[in-house]
Amino acid sequence: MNKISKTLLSAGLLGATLLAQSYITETTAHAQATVGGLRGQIRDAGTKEAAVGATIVATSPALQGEQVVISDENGLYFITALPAGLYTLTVYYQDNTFSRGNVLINIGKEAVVNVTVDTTTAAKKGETIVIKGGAPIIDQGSQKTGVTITDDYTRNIPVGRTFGEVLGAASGSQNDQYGTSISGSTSVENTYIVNGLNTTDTSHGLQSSNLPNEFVSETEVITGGYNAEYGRATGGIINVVTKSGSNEFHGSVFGYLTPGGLVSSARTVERAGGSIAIANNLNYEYDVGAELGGPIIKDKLWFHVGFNPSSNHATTTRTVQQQLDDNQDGIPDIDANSFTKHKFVSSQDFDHHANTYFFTAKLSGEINANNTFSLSAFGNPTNGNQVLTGSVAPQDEFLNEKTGAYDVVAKYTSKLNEGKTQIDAVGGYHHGYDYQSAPNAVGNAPGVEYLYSRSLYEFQDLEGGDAKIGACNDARAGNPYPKIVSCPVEQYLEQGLGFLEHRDNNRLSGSLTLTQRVKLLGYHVFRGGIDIEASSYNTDQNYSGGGFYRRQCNTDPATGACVGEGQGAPGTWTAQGFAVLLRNLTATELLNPAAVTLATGQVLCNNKLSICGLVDKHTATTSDRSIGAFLQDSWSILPNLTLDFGIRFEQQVAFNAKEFQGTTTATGEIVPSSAFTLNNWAPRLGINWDPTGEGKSKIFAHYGRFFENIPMDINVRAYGGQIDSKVSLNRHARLPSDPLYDANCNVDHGTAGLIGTLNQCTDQKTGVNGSTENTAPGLQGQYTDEYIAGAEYELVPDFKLGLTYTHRTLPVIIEDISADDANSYVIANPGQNFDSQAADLDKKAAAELTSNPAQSAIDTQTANSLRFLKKEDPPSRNYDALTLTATQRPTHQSLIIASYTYSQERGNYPGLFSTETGQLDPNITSQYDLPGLVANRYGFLGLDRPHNFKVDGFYMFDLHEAGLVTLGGSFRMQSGIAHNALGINPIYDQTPGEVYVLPRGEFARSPTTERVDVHVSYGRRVHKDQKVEVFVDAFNLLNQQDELTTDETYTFSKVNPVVGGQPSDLTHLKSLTDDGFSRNLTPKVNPNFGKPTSYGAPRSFRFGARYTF
Amino acid sequence: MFVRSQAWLATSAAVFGVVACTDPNLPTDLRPDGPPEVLSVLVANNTDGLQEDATFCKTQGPNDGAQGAGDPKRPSLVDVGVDFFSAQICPEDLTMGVPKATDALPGTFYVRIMFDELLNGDQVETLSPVLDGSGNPTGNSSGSIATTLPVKFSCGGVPVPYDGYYQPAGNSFSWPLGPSLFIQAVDPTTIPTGADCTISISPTVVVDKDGNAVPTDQLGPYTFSVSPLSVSKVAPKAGITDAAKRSSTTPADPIVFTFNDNVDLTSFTASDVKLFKGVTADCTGGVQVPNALVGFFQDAPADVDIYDKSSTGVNPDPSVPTNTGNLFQPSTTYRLELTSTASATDVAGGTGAITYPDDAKGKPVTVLCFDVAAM
Repeated sequence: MNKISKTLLSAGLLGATLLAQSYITETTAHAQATVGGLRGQIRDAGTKEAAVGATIVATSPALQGEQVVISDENGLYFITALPAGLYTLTVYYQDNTFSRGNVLINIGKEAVVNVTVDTTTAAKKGETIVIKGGAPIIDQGSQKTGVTITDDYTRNIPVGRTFGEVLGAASGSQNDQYGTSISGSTSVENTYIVNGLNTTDTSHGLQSSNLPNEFVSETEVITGGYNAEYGRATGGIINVVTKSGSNEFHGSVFGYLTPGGLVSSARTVERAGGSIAIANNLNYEYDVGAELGGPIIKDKLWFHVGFNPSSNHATTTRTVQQQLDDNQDGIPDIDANSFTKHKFVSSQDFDHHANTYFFTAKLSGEINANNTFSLSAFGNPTNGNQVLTGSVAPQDEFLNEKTGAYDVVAKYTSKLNEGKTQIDAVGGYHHGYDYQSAPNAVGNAPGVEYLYSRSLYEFQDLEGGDAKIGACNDARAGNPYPKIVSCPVEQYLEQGLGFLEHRDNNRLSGSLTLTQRVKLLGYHVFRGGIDIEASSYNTDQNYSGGGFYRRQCNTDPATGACVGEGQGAPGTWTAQGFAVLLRNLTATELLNPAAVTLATGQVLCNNKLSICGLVDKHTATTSDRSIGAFLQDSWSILPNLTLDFGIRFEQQVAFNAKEFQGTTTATGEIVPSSAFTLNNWAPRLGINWDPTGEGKSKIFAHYGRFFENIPMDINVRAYGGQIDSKVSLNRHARLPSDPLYDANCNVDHGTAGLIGTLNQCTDQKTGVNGSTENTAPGLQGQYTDEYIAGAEYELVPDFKLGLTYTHRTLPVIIEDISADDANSYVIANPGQNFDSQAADLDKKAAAELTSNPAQSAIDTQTANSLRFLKKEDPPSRNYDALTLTATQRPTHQSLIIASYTYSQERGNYPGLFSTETGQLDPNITSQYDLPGLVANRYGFLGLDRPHNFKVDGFYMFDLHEAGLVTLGGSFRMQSGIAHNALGINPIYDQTPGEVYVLPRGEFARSPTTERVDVHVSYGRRVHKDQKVEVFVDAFNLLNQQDELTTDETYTFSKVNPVVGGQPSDLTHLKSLTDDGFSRNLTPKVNPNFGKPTSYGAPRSFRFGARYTF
Repeated sequence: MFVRSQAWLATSAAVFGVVACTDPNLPTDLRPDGPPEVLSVLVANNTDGLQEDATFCKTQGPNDGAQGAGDPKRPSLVDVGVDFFSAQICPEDLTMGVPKATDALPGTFYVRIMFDELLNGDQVETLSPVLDGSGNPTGNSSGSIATTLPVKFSCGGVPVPYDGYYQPAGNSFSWPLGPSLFIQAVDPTTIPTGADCTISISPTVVVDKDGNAVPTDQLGPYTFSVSPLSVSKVAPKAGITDAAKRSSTTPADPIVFTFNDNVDLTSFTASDVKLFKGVTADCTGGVQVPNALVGFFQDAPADVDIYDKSSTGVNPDPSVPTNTGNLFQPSTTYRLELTSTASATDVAGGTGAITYPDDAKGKPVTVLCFDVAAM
């Protein structure tokens, strides 16, 4: 009693008050995310009773020392904090010794191993009785779904080289634009934990840290059903543990090579129109590395280190081609598939590369049997260059980039109270970065882009002249196709690279967890903990040369045709850049803002309340603070029936950029330090029932609410004081005959000193928008509700079948919305009722009407926006999946992981990025920006793939003296996605695809894709525990380059959605003027609409060799 | 266990099926079930910077009965384009209608009838390819309703020949509102200013994609009026009596009255004005120019230009573009007063009083005073 009380006090666990002290009989520790657990019952076959007081000792090469527990009055035992690995259980009971080996422990899992000891047939004293059999492979400790990847998998299945590339083994997962999507969520909703440290990119939710598989002990991909100890994710949890040392020296030396010469020809992406084709070809990719682990002090201090440089070299071939018009009808000839026919003109190769230097280092130590620690550091620094695709002048092709991450983690585990209480403390630091730069002076100049169709020959000075593209000269003598433009380009970028960014992401984390077991109407395992994360996202954004210039032709408002080119009418220009608030207008100036004298580069902003200055970059230093706390009870009512209750609290405080804090807004208010605070309560409820009572089956159900941790992109873009400037030049496109014509405005490619001349143009108007966005009072956190029910059964030893039903919804989201045509934005929960908050703002606006009319106007507008929220379409993302799995326990000899998932995902909100436009701005995408953008977004979402079938497996043939032959394979089959018809919104006219012309997913799906990968290995044992192996992996063996993506842009004209329409309705659709008004003109259909834009990678072969010891 | 598992599977599949097939009815959706209903009728006007104002807003929901709570699908606060903010098209109170529009823009107005669902486009509209200057197809088409005649359109009791198009795009949240029929007179200048107009829907032409016709009680007529003839602008600017704030004109500049419609020059006569020359700096005094010496001409259909025939070096006939000469006496200050009965007539016969436009603060202006510079 006293002992227990002391334990509770020392733990400081708030939930201790829940415990009825008089019923507490025992305490114990439970599993941690970086380790696994084991429990079971010892029975005496002779007495048919529980074996009370048996001593159970767990040993493993993965474990420093040993773990010893005593079975209780029910014969039950519990062992926690076991590193992943193969274990042997030794049971000492009534002077007899029994041993059971081959017990597999995975991270985050709890195995049940019941041991029956027969003392009546006990052997001689001192002899150990070996009990055959392994441990059931069904996790009885939670309702988590997903898959665990071991090195048996990564060595023998043809997969990518890093843990980030094996996540696709999880049932129902699929690749999306930014990673691996899990359970219908976008990939950036995942959380990546390595050695207990959250390594997720702070700014956008991307995977940041990555390691080669040789450095990884296990990768647990949790696709759902995670308990209260996990949070800050609405997708999946990727839980990785790196390798540790052991009492013996073990390691490997390895190398991989993918020769470009053995990569099959890639299927050509045919495009109608255009004269520049881009093809990327791998030259070679290789990596070599070594990892070594062993003892520094046996059973006390182990180390593991590894280093693996890798390099990828590729060539991008840029081909200029001309169109044909053999029938002289003035229309470019097309082939049988409606693609434009082309003839080769010239080509140019651009070599580029990327080098990554993976490393890992880990110390694992045991101070004594009750206190262990680990220190680890790892990273993946990468540098290289990449080639810009599209119509880019050859001089602009390259972009240099340095990216990667560094991490350090420390973990301390302490068992108190004779090992019955466990405290785990983890602390660490994650640093990710991405630095972009131009490789030369040309790239550092202002970017100049031409956004309309013109002949490539107009840029012949950049393209190598007649020697290279003479065939594109439409005026050349003997031109066989005089009626067409030989080499049209729809857009063309010359001079600088445009938008460049330097950014770094940091997170300092710490967590403390305590586990306590209590006997009360069964067994309770109480578990509680707190964690804190201090994150930062710092960015320097700039346009090369200080600005980005775009030229557009004049369009005839009646016909929409480009009338400028070749007809003497000068094009119009815009120059994009940044601005900063310089000062607010004085009271006198506010009376007549138009009379304020502005210096060069200054402009009135904030509704003419302030003066802003144009600048060449935007810097934001932002931070976040997230605190989490959880309390959960795993109540084993019966040995085979467990109820799990949990509650998790998460608080996220997002701060305004430091440069912005404390400054005065245009309306005289002081910018506070914090931008918003979210207080989220996430309940979890689960049940496990094992009908067999032997750990060989599980029927389970789980409900959980999972909150998103808002990535910090929002801190920079919405709370970073970012002001965008847009200077419109030559707005009136005046002809030389116009009295107001200014020759400085009429510039084009080839004009000497183009940018300098254009900046002198007198026909210009500067607009700025941005600065801090308002936050809706009462803002709720974005969350997913998940319901899971399923069953698993170990059909034969080491082989289980599972069936799981998952239902996920996304009832509340955070997005920015504008109810006044992009004049102002508010961060809010679309579809929710904010009327009471609006009423409060109305009162505030009324009160300050006289004292601060400008702020009053802003508050009134914000109140109007809040009132509008309830009229918005409520967000929805309904994911339903039925999954059948078949899993064989990984052994050194064989493995099978197979799954079939039938799913459906419908809704209007795909998640943290737009699956159609690719916009990755979590919680501030354009999806709810304007009322006119919302219609037609409901339907089959961009990650909806009804059928998803996966089989991974290998088998090792032991030919004894002749060696070892391993055959492995991976098969993937998944449905295509339903396609859309997209158009351009008049306000968001720089981005194609913001308007869903027809309801989402109205067009047919892409074909089902299939892929077969094969692994063949030959190895020889060269010494005890030493093995040499050579192998080859064939990726996409059947060279099925199936269609992956499709051009969904129906038109580049400005249009409104045809709400609820069908393809037949498009015949009558009318486009809008540039200002968004009516006109009687159907839009011009994109000739590439519905045609593939990418195919699966061609067949390739990877060769490798590995020496393990 | 297996039996239970199978039962569980069946239950799950049933739940799965129910959940997966339920699609919500969203605020931005149209209402494809039932007949096509008229949510709003809008008229292009010139009053508040908007292009269109409602002359009709539906006040009865599809199943609400006579005393219903209104139709939630009708437009209310709508974003109206790149350069504008939100506009209240129909009141937030769904049971409230709007008054008849009386300010259709003379000469160019059009009518938009907004429906709650998509129409059978092939029945209400014909499409023709748009050709470029060389006669080649541009890839665009334009629509016409001149032959399908989905409405009856009359002004002042006279049928109006019209054309227009069907726009299937839009809803109550996007601008322009839709789906809609866009209707415009073939020659709007033939419609008198101030005329009362009506539009009725043809139930045999306007049908939805299922062939349903517009309910009888929603066929119209929908009514509105064209704005009366009025002066929209005067140059030089009227109402400035402070000499320090006036900018001078050249002797060759006329006084230009710009109307909101094409005006009949003969309807604006010397009896409508009093022109004084040699007035003081504060616009008083001066000598009235005899009516016979006050000249009128037009250099644009909506303009009436006035000049002083008694000026030295006067232009003999300013209606001839090649003629030159003075239109007002150099180095002289003039004042132009409008008589209380001053009126003009548009080319279609509509009349309206001639007054100076109100000043920027909305106050009436009664006098035009200007300084003619030296030659």
